[in-house]
Amino acid sequence: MEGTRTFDLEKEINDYSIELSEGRLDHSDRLELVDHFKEETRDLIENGLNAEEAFVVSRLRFGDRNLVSDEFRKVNPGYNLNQVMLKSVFLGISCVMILSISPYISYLSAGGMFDIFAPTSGIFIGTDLFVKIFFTGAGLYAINLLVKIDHRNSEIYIMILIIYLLMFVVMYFISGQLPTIDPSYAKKLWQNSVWVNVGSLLILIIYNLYLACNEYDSNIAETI
Amino acid sequence: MQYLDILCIYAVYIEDLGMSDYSKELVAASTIPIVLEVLKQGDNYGYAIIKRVQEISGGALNWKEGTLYPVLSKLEDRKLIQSYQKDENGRTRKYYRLKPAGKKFAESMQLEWSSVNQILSKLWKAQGHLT
Repeated sequence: MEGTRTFDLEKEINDYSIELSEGRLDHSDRLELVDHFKEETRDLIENGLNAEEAFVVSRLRFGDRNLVSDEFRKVNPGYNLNQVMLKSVFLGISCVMILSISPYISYLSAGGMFDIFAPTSGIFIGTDLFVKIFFTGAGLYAINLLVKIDHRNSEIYIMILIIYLLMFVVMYFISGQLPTIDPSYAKKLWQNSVWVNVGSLLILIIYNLYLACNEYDSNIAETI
Repeated sequence: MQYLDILCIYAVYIEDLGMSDYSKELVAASTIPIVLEVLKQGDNYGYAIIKRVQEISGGALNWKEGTLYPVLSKLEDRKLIQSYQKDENGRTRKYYRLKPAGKKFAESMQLEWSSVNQILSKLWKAQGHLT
């Protein structure tokens, strides 16, 4: 039936401007977007469109939502810094996950025990500092190449986390059935795992801060 | 709503085919000098800048409107323009004003663009003699 659904233009404009700014624009920047849509829809309505049509047209004229959001992201350093923190935390977890895989296997083949702090360190036992740094660095580089975090691929991170948790659960059950190892070796594993985890997180944060500084330029504004 | 969306996308697509007289690269490169020149004529706000450019270009220069705001924000970061709030008809609007550095920058861009224009004009003229 015609007219049963009412279209609240003001609300739609407000919601869309929030969607566009994705929490990274300050109050006056967001009001600027609201003002833009209000004025444009008013012009279109004066030209004979109804409110709903006017809103659709002005959204299309405004441009692709992802493109515009990307442009805002590039020119807003505050937003970038938040992204860096998020990126570092997520990448840190992914990194620990990747480093975990081989040690699990080496434990099992050596008939090792399961230790919640040890899993990330087995592969590094008995290796020197350069090897540790090389493996940590290579892992981090691979993760950064594979997955670029932004608002559109956070699902990939959730997937990685789920896979990580699944592996953890499987390894728990398998390792629970194996004989224990000597306590001094377990302590060494624990110390190594702390070293690797803290080290990799630090490298990640520094590397991503470096990336964030370089991502600052906008495609459109690059002529200045 | 969905049907309407498709219709409008189609309309914009048709419009793009006919109206987009400038390449993407040229539009991107000319955005900043154009914005600065518009602001040279007086303080203005986002939507009015878009309207002004459409009017001057006779509708030939169609920006994706949303891309103007990040550019304004970038120009403000570089201290070429400055924004301020102004109350107008009961609502607060964000206006932009050209700063002296922006004026200087606009002048240097003017030199660059007119020199490119001169080079091309000479080449076109030379070609005219050949044919």
